[in-house]
Amino acid sequence: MKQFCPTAKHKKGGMGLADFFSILAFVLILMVFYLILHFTIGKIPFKLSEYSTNVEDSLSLISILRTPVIVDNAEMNIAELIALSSKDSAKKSLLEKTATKIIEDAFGTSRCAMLCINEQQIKSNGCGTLVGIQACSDNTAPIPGYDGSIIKVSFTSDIQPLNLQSAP
Amino acid sequence: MNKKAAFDMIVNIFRLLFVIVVFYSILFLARAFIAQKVDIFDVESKLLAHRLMFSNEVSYTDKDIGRNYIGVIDLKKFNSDEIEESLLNSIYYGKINSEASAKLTLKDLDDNIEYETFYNRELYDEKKVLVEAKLIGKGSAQSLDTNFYVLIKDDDKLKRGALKIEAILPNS
Repeated sequence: MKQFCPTAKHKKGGMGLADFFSILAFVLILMVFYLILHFTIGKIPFKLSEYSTNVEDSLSLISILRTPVIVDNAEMNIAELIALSSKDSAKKSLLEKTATKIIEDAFGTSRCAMLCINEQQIKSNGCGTLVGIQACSDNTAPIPGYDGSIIKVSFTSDIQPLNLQSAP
Repeated sequence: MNKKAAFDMIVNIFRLLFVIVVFYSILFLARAFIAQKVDIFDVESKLLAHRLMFSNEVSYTDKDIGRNYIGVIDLKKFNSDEIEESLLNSIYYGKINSEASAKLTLKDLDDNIEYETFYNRELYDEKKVLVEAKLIGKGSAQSLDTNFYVLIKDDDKLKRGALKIEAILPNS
């Protein structure tokens, strides 16, 4: 019977060295290609849903900033109250109370939603069970302050618990 | 058949099996990283929710300047008898719309009143039963809720509100 590979000469009673190395080389090539494909193609994230959540949160943020509020018998909106509270710290508690009520009424108390005003984080009651500091969204709305500074405001409607298992 | 010929045949069978393994390994490598099924239900239903949210059939429009305020729901438009028809005409999925349906629930957070309207009610009622039955596969449907915090324009007053859009799309 004619052999498939005439160069693979083997000793009587065992496989040839060429056969052994061909299998080894094949397994190595398979592993190398799998790793290359895994670390290139496998790491491309599918971000469409994430962008959609950004749109929803941005729209909700615009409505939050437009919400009317009575401050010292004068009607203004949340955006104006934010600007005012950066100058007058006495207004901060009113801002926090009003913003928390809006978030909890609209998104429920079980869900963790957060309004970020510069470094300040106003969270809903649902965030109480979450450990650690949550990151604010990158989608910020700039509000001009009374001192000429820009106040960055962002909103995230559904913060997921931190994955502490993957933390170092 | 002598001993050597029998041995050669066993070795060749082994090699043939090895070639088959090589063939299937290449097939596996090629197919493992190709997405053969892309589930776009989330994107499709979010798109419908955004189209409804951005529609000037529900948003408040300043007639003097023609500006449409996204996120400010005009209660008069929302409660009008023509809204379902005008939504169907403005968000067009074909003459016979068997593609998308939704239920819009607007909650007045200040007075705790709920209003609701539908986009393509006929399909919504038909497919809602299938969603509740949790049937899967072709012929069935899926639903996805999208929530927005909105303002409600009730005559001259601006009230706080929450808009829930429950999109129901049939599985294709």
